[in-house]
Amino acid sequence: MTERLTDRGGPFDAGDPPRDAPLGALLREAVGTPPSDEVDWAGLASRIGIAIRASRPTPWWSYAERWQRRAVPLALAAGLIGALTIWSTPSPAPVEVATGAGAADAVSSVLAGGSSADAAGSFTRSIAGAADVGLGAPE
Amino acid sequence: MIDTGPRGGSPDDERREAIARDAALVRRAQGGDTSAFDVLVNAYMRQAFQMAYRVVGHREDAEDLVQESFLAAYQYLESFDVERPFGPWLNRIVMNRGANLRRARTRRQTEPETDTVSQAPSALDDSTRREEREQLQRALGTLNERQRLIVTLFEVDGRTSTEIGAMLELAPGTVRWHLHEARRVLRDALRRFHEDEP
Repeated sequence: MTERLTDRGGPFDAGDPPRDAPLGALLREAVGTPPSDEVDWAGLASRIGIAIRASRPTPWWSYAERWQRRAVPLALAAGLIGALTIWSTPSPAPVEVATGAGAADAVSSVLAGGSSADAAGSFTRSIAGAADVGLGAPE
Repeated sequence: MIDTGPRGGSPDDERREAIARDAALVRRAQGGDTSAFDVLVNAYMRQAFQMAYRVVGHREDAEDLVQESFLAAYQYLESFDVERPFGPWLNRIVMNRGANLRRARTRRQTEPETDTVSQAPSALDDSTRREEREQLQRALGTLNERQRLIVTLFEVDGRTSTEIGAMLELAPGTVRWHLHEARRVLRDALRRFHEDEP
């Protein structure tokens, strides 16, 4: 393709017809010339950029991000209050349960050759005793 | 005549490079990178403005149309075929939206820029000139959007058929055919004003 500049003020391709100067003048009068010099290009680009960013759909994580600033201090405060509550509440008196010891005794007794009925009776008594202690029943 | 001489690469090479560059930017923009779309905006807003002005004939309207068209392009970016050039796709959006805008706005506009009027030759008296201009406006109104744009880009802006073809994604031969048709309509409309000319 050959492209040249003409003395009529514009380039043309080899296959292009010559420009029609009178028609061009009339058209120029009718439609004007794009006033590119009057356009604030940086401002226009900026407006387009803002419009595009505003048009983007909101991703789900942005909601989390929006709450992040409030959620973190709230969570910290709640945790602190919870910790203080647990720390300041008096714990109940420990209950000594003898079931572990009773079971060990029963197993030892059976392993030593004692009867399983005796071992079971001894275990039952130890549980009952522990329950009495736990309930605070008088001896 | 001035020969512009050989250029860096062939037009086909330049076109392929531009398509590849734009495709990369479009893919990034499709992935949510708005800064990639900013690059496309800066690359194409001047051409889009020229097109928009040719469609709506008013600077502020043309700027609004450019903004709307880029926004529409961004919203429909998923449907853009990255194997094709971005500029003509954007230009089609400008043309379609501009035509709608022009139809919707019954009357607010299009007195031409006065500076160009003052530069025009004034061999004919004012009333004949005005009548001729009105006749031309009517004839322009009968052309379809593409032909109106092509004859303006060729006769007023001095674009070549190849350049216009690249803007509208048409073959230069097709551009020349539209140009021929548009000129025929306009010349017929203006014939009676020039019958006495040699």
